Amino acid sequence: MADIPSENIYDEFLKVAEGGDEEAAKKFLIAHMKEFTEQEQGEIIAAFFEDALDGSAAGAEAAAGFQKQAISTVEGLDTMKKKLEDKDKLLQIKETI
Amino acid sequence: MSTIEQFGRQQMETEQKEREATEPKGPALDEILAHPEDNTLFSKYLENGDDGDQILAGKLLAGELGADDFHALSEKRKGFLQVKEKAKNMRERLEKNMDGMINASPQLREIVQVAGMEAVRKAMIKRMDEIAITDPEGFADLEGRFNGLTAAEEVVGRGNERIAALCKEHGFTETEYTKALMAREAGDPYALEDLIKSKMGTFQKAFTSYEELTQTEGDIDTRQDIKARLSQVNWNLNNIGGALSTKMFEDPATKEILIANLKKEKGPDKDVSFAEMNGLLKRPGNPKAIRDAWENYQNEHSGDDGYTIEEARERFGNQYAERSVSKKRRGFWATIFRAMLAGSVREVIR
Repeated sequence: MADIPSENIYDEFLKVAEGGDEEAAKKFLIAHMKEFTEQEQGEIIAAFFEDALDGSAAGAEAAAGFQKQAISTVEGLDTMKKKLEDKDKLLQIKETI
Repeated sequence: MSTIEQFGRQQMETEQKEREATEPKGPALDEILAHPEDNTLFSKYLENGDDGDQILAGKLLAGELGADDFHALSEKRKGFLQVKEKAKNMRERLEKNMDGMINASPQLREIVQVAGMEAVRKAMIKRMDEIAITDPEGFADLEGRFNGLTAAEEVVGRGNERIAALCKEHGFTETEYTKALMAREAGDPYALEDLIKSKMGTFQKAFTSYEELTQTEGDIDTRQDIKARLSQVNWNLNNIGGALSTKMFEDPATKEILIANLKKEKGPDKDVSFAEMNGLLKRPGNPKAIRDAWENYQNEHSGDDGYTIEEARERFGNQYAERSVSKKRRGFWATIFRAMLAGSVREVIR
């Protein structure tokens, strides 16, 4: 691991960042990881790790919301179906009387 | 042994037990001071305390501790060990979830390839220790986000049990979801996205239609009406059921699609954005001004604070970066920006 950063690594990063492409800037950090000092590598990894934690949390929350909507819709329709079937049975009995 | 002696002995034993129960477990003060990493963290812990703690930190770093200071330090050790214990618990919880997080994040997967799993693990451990000690608010925020993740995963787990029961009860066979997965594996990148997006709409539509059906329930008087309504209900049930799958809600791809499609509804991000960072991220201007500031810093801290020149450079760089983006600003780009700025300042004064 590097104790001294490779020359101009910050300038290079700045140039990529100035391009305005967030994904390209992230890709640069990963591809050039080894050119940063050990301490900076740790900070970059930690930032990506926390980013992934946020992503995982947002994903799990979105999945939970989507799932809840699916379940409540199926359960609601199921209740409706049972009620209609009961009513149909009642009318059928009335018809036979 | 007299009754009084017996009472005294029992009293002493009780007090000893109480002391042991409240005493945090961990290394003794001399062990902390002798261990380089613990020593550094302990100094940082004191530096983040009140004025008295900061004076203690200075004496500790300069090796000028008096007998009274050791007593004060041994009291501070308790708080330090409690914070370390919290960080350790958090690390253990994160380590258990690490594989899942790496699996769900293409960028973390790339980092593991470039830097190795051990580097990711080490960085996470170091970060937890540091943030717990230097930024308790940030640590609590991180803990809250992690709790949010585990809570949502538990909800999904319980929901999946219900979905499995519903699939069994109604004979749903995951047809649509399986088809989308097969198409994705065959190279169609949009197959799953199309299904999820269509189902996001379908659930809503089916739900609205269910509400309407419920409201007009009283209007149904004939068996013919019931038949027509049942046909609608069954159509909606089958339409949803074909896409229902317990695997679906745990699939990282599903989550990505959901996030992308829900993003528009989210409010502004409180973290430092990439655009904001770009506005701030300028080479720290005049290298001469930085070198002058570094000279002043060295004069102010003229070797009596116990830091090596390398440690002093690190502190100067960090302080410089934190003046531009305070530690209270969080998020990916805030962390990266501080690291880049501190690094470029250190490069100027090297």
